[in-house]
Amino acid sequence: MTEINKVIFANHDDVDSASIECYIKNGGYSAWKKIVATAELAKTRESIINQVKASGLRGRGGAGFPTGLKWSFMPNTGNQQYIVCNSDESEPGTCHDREILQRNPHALIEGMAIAGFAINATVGYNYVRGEFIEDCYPQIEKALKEAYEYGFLGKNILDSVISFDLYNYLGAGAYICGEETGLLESLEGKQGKPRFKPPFPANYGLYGAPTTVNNTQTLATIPKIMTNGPEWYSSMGTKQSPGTIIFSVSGHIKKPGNYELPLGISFSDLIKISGGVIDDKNIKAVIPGGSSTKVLPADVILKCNMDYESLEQAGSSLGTGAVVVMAEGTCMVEILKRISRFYYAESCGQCTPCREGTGWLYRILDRITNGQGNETDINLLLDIANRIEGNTICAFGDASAWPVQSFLHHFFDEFEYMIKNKGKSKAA
Amino acid sequence: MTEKKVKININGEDHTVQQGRMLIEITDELDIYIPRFCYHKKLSIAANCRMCLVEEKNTKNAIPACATPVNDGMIINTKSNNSKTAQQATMEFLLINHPLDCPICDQGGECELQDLAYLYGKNKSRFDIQKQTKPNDNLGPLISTDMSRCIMCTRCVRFGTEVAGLPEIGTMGRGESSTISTFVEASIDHELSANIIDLCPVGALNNKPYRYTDRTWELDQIESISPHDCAGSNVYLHVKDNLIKRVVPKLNENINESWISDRDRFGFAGIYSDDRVNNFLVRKDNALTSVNQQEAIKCFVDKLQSIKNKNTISALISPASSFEEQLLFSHLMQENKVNNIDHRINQIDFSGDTLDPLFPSLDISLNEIETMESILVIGSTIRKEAPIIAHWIKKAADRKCETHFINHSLDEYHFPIENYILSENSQIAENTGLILKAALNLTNHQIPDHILNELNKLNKPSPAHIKTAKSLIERTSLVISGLVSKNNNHYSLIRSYIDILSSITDSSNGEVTVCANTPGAYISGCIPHRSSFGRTKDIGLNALQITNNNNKMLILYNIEPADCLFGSELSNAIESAETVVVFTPFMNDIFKQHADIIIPIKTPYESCGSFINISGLLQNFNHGLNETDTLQTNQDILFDALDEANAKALPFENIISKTQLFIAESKSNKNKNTELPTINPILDPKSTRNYSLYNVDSMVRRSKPLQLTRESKIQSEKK
Repeated sequence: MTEINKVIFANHDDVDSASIECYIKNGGYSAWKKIVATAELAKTRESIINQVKASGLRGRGGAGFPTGLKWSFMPNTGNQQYIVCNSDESEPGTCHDREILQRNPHALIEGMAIAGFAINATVGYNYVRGEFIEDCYPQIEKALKEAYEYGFLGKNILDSVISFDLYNYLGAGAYICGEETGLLESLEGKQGKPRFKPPFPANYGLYGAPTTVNNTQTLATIPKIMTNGPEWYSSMGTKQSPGTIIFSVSGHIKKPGNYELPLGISFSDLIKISGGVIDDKNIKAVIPGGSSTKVLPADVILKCNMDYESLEQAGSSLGTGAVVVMAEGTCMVEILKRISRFYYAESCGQCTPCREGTGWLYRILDRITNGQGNETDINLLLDIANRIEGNTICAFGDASAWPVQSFLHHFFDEFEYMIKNKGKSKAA
Repeated sequence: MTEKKVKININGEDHTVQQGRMLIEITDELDIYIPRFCYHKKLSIAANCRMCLVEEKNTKNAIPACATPVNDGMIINTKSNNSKTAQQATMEFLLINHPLDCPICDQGGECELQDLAYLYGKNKSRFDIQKQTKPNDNLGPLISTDMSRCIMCTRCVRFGTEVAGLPEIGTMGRGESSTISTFVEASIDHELSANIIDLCPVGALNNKPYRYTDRTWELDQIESISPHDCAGSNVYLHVKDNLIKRVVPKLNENINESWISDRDRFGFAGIYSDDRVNNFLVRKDNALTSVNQQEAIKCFVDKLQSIKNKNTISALISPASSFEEQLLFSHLMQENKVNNIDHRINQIDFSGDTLDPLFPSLDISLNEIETMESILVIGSTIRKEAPIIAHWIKKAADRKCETHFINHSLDEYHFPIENYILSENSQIAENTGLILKAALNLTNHQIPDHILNELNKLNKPSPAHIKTAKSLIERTSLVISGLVSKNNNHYSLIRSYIDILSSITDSSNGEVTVCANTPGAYISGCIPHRSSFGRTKDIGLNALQITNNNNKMLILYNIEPADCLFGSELSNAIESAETVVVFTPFMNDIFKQHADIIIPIKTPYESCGSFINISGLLQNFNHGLNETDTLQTNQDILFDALDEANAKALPFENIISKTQLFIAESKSNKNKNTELPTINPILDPKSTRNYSLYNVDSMVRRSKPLQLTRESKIQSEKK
């Protein structure tokens, strides 16, 4: 059986895993202490970025961009630069960052400090999803306080020349603020509306200063890479997708939850680890990486390994690693309607195709499920989705179009059946 | 921005262009049209409408031309199927929730959405679901709202934030329910705010007084110049049946860019007020009786010539009248030996008359204000006096120009202010002198002893004075004064201080003057101490003295007491003068009771002529409103009077080129005056006129929409 919980969730079984004592006991902050003790700042910076590059770590926020490479884009302007952690985890199906914030906040804090040092940022912000106000926020605030008390953060950390200040910032509950430039706008106190890119945050980020935005899971992985070495990390997973990722498995599954596993694990193993399908039914379809990624039917996904390349080849993507399993009997029209409802409600309304198109998609799906669909509706749905895709400021437009395109591609018959039979589901 | 040139290919043709500029700027220059809504040359890039998506061969998705910097090797096709598909997609999305109520929309015929829908839209919508409606805010008396038509391009929002500097409206809500609105219900009050009417590409924000009056395609467009302030903003009059229906800006990058103030836009409405004078009137048996033009003119000239003591004849002419009218009027007076002529109805200190420049002006052109690094504004509520000049100062401030103010009121500006010296009216001269003193201490300039003695009477300059002086010395700078200075008891002293200050700090200087044509009034000789084109003459009485003169005849040309700083004195003078002759477009109570001859004249928009703006630019508005054979211009009336008086003909040919030459010569020879006026303490300080945006001239005072604004309400409450 594949080993689980090796990196971020290594101390998961410890009831006290969120405390700084537990974190330090298990080797936490040793990487940071070593960095802080260094005399050769520039060399150390370069070495950190090289180690992250060598580890092959890819951003876990969904796009899978190589983290070390992203860090190397940061200029050294001599002015204020920022590291921002994207803890605005809102992608439907995804819930691993929440668990990191709850159970291992110090890994994130240490990771942000290291990243901040590496990219010449002396200030970091941890942008936390608004809905986490009750369950995560008090814990990460507590952790932040502990880190300051132990002297791991602040000015002249442990009597060195290195300074790093970290702040937690609570969002107001908008999915779009998980888009990095929308997040930066929100962090600046403005409406969470993504910026047009270029310029990218590395050139023009928070308050116009060079900024790197990384996902919680990405940053929380950094300390272990530093202590155990990049080879240790890249020995897990596959060549193209090294290391581990936390899968959030949900849907018709017996033991839904977060499982930290090496990338490249076969889909069937993942299902086994998460207890199999409810009532031992057959799988009908799976959304492999959060609601924005394209749905895959059972015959395709069952042959897949869970890594970036395999899923891309299969016509979807690994996304955030949020695996939504749908068993036989699930009505795909209803599922798509629910997903479209989400994008309709969360569109920021800034640019035309997304503002106007998401509502149109949802309303057509709604009338189909109400038995009022027309025969032309399927083509219309597809056409609207195609007209949103690629035409918007941020990737939200694509995220709202891909489910429509993939559901219609794989389950065309269900839509057709429902329209012909005045709202009766073929799956039932 | 780099100066590097790159090669790009647009629609099969290679072009070498500057790297980093936005694609849409380049295609615009090459006359290759790319449709757009949110993009506007004067505003920041939003890239939100997605109408300008075009195909670039090496990019997967269509790129927005407004937000894509050009790079070497780009291959753009603005007409390809992919471009067209993306643009058609956007158009379909824009139209699904748009009401398509073009038949009842004032924007119809000049609507960017309507125009582009013909090119990129379909004749049948696939959207068969109920359209959205949105609530309409009441934004005040000038701007109407039909927010269901809004396509959320945010031009209006960006205008408020970037151009006006006052974000009065913003986007609210998210997704489909996004709206443009004021945060709490409020009117939009910034003096440039109605420009959002022109900016709005659809009929969401429209001209409220114009609402439902005419269809745009029935209007004729006539070029003109705004008569309400000294900027000389270029405008178009939109005319139907010889009536002005609305006024819109005409692009002039050197003066008003593509903006005009609300005053310029809605001031014309006063033309159609009920108290217009249409007939020649002569008082007979104590009642004003309608007579023909010939009789009225004869009556006036006979009376003028019958008075033997010419010192008992006085004439006041408005600085808002055209240069030609002023020239003819001053010629008429001079031919009849009348020396008591003036236009300076907003000035009480005339002690510096001998030091007067040939005409007041700004050393630089308006657009050059933007390039200044330090600006000192002395005694001016400049946003109200000349909104367009305030706009240029804001543009300079946005480019890190340090701005300094001395004024009697703490005015609100929407840009960073380096130094604001709040000064009692009586202290404005002293504060100016202290900056001069500080500047002298900081430099080694020699100035005559008697001036030094005068400055030594002042206190020690404070750090604030020193800061401003330093900034003027170290940076490319401009010193301007305005109407608060003009109204001041020590106006002449302030002006001398400014002249000396700007010569020792090597600053440009200038004066914001009232109405559209103060420089013209000087050049045409509508002043008591000089004849036209700076020639000498026997000195007559100035405007203030005229009101105290024992007048046998008082002639008012386009002036009402309300235009005048010493309005009550002028009213008294009207009451006491034996014969009162008024040339006026409008009737008022005092004219009704005391005027003996009333000659109806036209407002500038209805007549023709030229104005000379603050930077000495002579601009024609030769297209009169009624282009018919019977058009009687104001000049014609004055020519008639000159004929009647058997006056020497005025060489009127080439007058424009002669004037332009005179302006150019006197501007290049302009010596900064280094003398102080004889400092006469003025015993009777007049209260400073409560300067209001919408009280500047007879037309504006009668403009109903402007009188309904919040600004006007505040002013009338103050009274």
